[in-house]
Amino acid sequence: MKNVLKRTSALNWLDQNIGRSDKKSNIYVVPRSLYQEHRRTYKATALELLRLIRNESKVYGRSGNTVVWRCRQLGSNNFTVLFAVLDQEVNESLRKGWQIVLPETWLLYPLLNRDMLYRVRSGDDYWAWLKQDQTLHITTIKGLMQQPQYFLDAIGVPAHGVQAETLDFRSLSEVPKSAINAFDYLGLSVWHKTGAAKQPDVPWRKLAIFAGGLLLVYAGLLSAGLVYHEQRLNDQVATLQAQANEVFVRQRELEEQMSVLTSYQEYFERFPSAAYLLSRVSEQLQGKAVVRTIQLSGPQLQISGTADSATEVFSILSANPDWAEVRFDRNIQRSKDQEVFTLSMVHKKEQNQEGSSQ
Amino acid sequence: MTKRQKTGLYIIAILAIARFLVVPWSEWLDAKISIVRALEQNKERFQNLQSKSSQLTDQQQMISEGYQALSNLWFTGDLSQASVKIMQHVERIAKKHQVELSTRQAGQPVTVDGVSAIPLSLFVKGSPADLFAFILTLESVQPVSVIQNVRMTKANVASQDMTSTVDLAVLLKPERAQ
Repeated sequence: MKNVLKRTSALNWLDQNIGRSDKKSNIYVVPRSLYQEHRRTYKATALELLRLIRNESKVYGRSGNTVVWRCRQLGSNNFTVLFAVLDQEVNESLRKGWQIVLPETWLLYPLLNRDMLYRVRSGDDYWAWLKQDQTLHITTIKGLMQQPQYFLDAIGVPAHGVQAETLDFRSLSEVPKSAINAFDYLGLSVWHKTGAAKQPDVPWRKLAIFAGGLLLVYAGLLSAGLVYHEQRLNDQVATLQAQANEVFVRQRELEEQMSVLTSYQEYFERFPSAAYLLSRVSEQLQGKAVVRTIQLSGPQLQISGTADSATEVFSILSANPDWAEVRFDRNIQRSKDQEVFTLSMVHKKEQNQEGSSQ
Repeated sequence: MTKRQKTGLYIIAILAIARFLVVPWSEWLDAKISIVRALEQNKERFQNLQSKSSQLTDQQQMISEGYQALSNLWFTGDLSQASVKIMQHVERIAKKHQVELSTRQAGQPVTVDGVSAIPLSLFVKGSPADLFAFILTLESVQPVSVIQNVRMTKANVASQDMTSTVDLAVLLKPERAQ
């Protein structure tokens, strides 16, 4: 049991680079350079005091700093409270979980005699003077450290006959019995969330370089692919264009030939075959009429002649599908026993196409 | 150098890279993409043209056959000698069919509506059958003649012969096909 108590009151000095496994207890002493101290005096009841301390701690800790405090009663409803605002780097040295964090200078109260000058050996030496009213004066100003008199003048204490004692409390291994009372544990307790709760550091620079590299590779591949695709298309288009030129030339030749064909076709339609038309009309009037004159002008045919019945000649030609617009150009005249007639007609185009194809 | 200064420098570097590398690259990329799109359109157009080429082949056979048939109709000799040669051609046919060729006149080569021809005017006399055979031969033997006007008249009732005025055009190879 004695060992347990000894262990729980053992001190860990945070500036001595102790490893986690070397830590003796949950009590950590913060060197003076790692915190800022503020003193406040309140006239309030005990309950009001707790609320005031809580509010003040919120104000000091708004930048994320850890705040510890200790309270001493000066009189009825009169309290003085010391706040210590710890630097961020203190957190790095703390273990996860519940801790007792004790500012270095707060250890001095039970160690110093009243109205005596001490040169405290710590990281940086400094003067310490504890007044009768429990007011602790300390300094690390180099100018004041040169002579004790300078420091005493600064705090308004006569320097005559004052001798400076040396206090090396770095050798202190345990918390002095009167340094912390039960109420102090309330203000000195810190729930430390580092360790497992701490987010792992993201290697932003490496990620940025990797992402930049990926983008460069992507851009390079995209550009190269595009250039290659363009060259391939150029080659294909050049080949196709050469083939297309041949097609164009062939098409022009065909169009030219087609144009010639069309011209001659229209020409033949305009002037159907005279031999065909003459043979057709000759066949149709065989034995029906004697033709004296035949005049052929393109598809138009005019016949003059004699027949027993000009009307019969007219009806034969009108009924024949080869001819259209059959009409008498002159009056039918009777001469002896024959009728003299003059007929004209037009060869039908549909029939003409077959006959005119030479 | 503070962290804020470093961050500022990083931002400036990123902006500079964006302005002088990324933006020009992006513009170059846009231009390339436009070129590639145009090339792809050209490729598609030419490919369509190639498919049209097979249709053209079918047409080509039909047109070529027609053109070949047509080329068997027109005069194929020396054009400067065309009038003389054609006149001799007509005389041979008239003689063959025993048609009396009284008058004949050949004009200069003309091209009307894409058709080149030498106009001829003939005055012939013969039996109707001979005249018919004469005209039929003119229309069917190369160089083919196209009869434009024919007027056949029987001189008198007693006569068996007819006189005929024939205006015709002997086809020449068209100027476009020279």
